Amino acid sequence: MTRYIVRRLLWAVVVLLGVSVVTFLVVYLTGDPTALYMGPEGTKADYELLQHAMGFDRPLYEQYWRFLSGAISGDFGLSLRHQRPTLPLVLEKLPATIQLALAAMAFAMAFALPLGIISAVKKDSLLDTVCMIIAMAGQCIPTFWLGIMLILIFAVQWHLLPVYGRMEWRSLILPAVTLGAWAMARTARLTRSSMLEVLGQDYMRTARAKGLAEQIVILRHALKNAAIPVVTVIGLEMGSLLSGAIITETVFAYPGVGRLAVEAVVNKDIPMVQAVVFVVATMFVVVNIVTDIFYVVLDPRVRLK
Amino acid sequence: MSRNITWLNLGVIVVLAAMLLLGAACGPTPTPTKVPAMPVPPTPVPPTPVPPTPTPALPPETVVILQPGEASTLDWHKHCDMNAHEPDRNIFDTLLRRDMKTLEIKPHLAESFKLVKDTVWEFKLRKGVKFHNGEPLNAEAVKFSLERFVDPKTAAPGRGVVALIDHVDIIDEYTVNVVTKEPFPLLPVRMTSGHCGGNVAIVPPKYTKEKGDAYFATNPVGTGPFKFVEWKKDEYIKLEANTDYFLGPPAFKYLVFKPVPEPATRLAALLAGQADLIINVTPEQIPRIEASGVAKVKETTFGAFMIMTKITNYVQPGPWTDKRVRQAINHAIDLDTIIKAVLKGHGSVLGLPLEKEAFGKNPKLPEYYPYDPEKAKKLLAEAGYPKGFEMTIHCPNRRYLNDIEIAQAMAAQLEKVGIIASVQVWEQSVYATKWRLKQLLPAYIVAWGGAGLFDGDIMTYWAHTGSALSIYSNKEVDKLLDEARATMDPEKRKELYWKLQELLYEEAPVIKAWQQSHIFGVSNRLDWEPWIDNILLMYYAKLRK
Repeated sequence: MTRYIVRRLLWAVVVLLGVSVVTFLVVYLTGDPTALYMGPEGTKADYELLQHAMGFDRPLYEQYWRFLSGAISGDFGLSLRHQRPTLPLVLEKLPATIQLALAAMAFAMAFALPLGIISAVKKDSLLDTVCMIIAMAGQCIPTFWLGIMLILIFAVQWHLLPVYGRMEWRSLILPAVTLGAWAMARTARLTRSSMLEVLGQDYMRTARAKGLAEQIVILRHALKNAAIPVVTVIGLEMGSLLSGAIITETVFAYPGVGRLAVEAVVNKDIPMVQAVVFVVATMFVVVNIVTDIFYVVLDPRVRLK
Repeated sequence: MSRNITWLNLGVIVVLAAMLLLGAACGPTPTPTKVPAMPVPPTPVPPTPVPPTPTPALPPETVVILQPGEASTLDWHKHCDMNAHEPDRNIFDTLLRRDMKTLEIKPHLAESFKLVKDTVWEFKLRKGVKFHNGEPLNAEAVKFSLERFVDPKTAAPGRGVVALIDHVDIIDEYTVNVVTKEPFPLLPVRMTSGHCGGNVAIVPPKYTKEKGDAYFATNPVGTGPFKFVEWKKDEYIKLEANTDYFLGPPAFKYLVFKPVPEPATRLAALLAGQADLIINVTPEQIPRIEASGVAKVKETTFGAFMIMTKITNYVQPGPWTDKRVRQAINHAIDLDTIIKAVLKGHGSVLGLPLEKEAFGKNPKLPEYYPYDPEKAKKLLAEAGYPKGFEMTIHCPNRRYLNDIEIAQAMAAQLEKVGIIASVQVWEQSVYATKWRLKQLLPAYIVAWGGAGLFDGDIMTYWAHTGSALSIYSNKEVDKLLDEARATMDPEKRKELYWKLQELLYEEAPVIKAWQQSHIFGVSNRLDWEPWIDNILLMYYAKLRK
């Protein structure tokens, strides 16, 4: 197990290195950021002065090397826009994003599992249809629209919740529902199909034949087995929730890593983009490793070599 | 079995709760591509009485402003950023300031100013003014601030426009002489507050030197009506009233700027009573604010930036190098109709890009190429293009209000006179780089001004061959611009600009310019008027009881 984790972590380093090269190139290919940081009335000489001050007059490989050598020692450079070290800024915003992702996940699971289980147990009933309509809705309503609608209903119309920001615990509710809707829908549908598959198995009949209560049959025998693919998806969803809060954070002006990412990309703040991508990629890799470990615990058939 | 039913009941309750939550938002489900810019609330929502304890009300004595983005730095000398300029405008002061109504340049931190000789301006400072940290505002502070701004090491983005400042001489504790390399008639204008144009804020020398630039950027100290309290990134910038302000304390205690990027969210916050002032309201949002009863709209094109379409006459060869073709393009475009249709009237046509209030505006010039497609066709035929030609209009991606739609409407009108114009849209950072490399040819849309400059000098930036951003070249135009820039006598300078505009009118180096309205949403409790350059100055604002 330890060796497996170590090997996964080593691979993670390779992945992160690859990610950094790709981001660097993609951001760089769209042009030199100097123009964005200049006054519109600046002259060519001012432009060159600023370009030199920001280091964009150096060859590409040199710029990348400067980034990489710094990154190894945890120094991702100064944000072009804020002239402050980037990594501390990202780490400062990380708790907010993690909090939002966990809340979204909690919301998603609280609804997805009951919805999935009920619709599987009551297959082809009206209840099943209703549950799946809800799941479909969660999947096909655009995040942006859902966010705005929730704001209009719960904040503007009913004055129940804050519109934006992260001032108190209630600020978390609407963003969490918006962000979690998709994960909820996907997990609910997967739970349903996974449950249906399991419910048809011989051991389910055996369990019922033993005279176990339906509740126990479903929760302990069916759900536990149906949960294996669900856990994988939850792991992946967690990764996307952590990195995919960009739209939700923008709509709710929620101060997390997603907002930083948008701001950095729009302003072509290359060091900031690098730091954000590095942190998000790291989280994604870690979540994936944790998911794999869970998988082993849940499914005794999976053995690590 | 009964336990089984209970369990199912629980499930049903959960599902119902989910339906309530999602179903409420389930009205018409548009596909992602059809998402409206500002969706109206779904009709099924019943009108509910306002609950007894409305959530997050605005704190008393606090004005909350929602900006579309966050400040990059609060060191005024180091940004060219509207979102930073707005808090900074309230923290710092400049030597001079324009009168809001007459536009006259008046003393502010300076008590008086005069021209000693062509390259020397004397400023006498107001006595007894203190920075928020207690440092005195004196000649040394002014010298430090101006010299810091023009020092290449500071890499101030706005340095270019005051680069003519050579140094500052301290005459006595409250008098300085600003010495310029060449005659610089625009110096007083550049000492008023404006956005991004090198309008130099006065910073405390001791504090700035001791704490260093990086610290100063997040902990600014000025002499302004509000003192910096706290900056929580992506959440808020909080300022507190400076009770020792030299013009008297502001009318309320706290001023808070919050970045809320999404326009629909800013609107919702205003309507829910969670903001006092929102910036960049879109025309579609106006009726909702007006109908709300909790807020009102303030709209103005006065001092707004001028959006123009530059056409080259030399960087790229083609029909456009002939002035008759440029005149024809202008005659072919009915900008009034476009503004009415695309901006729903929330803008105004300017023609030649110089505000009517600007110094040096020639009032005798007729309307800039009235809409006349027949004349356009005639001019094209004369120039040898009776069947028209193809061209590209480059356009930024949503930098200005409905910019793409305006470009497309112009292209459609050009087609009627035979010019096939295609609109090429670019992402902002690419656009900014390309325009500096003069690669947006033969025509591109860009905005200028709006920084409270109000001076014929602004024409330099779109008409002078030497300007980094101009794609037009004409020796006579250059000569007039250079001459005006070095002429200290206002009357002579004015004459030069009048002559210049006559020439530019004839030459038509730009397609007629327009100004878009600055639209603000203001809560009923806030008494506030937009400032001449539309950057928020909150000192004169009041909270109604």
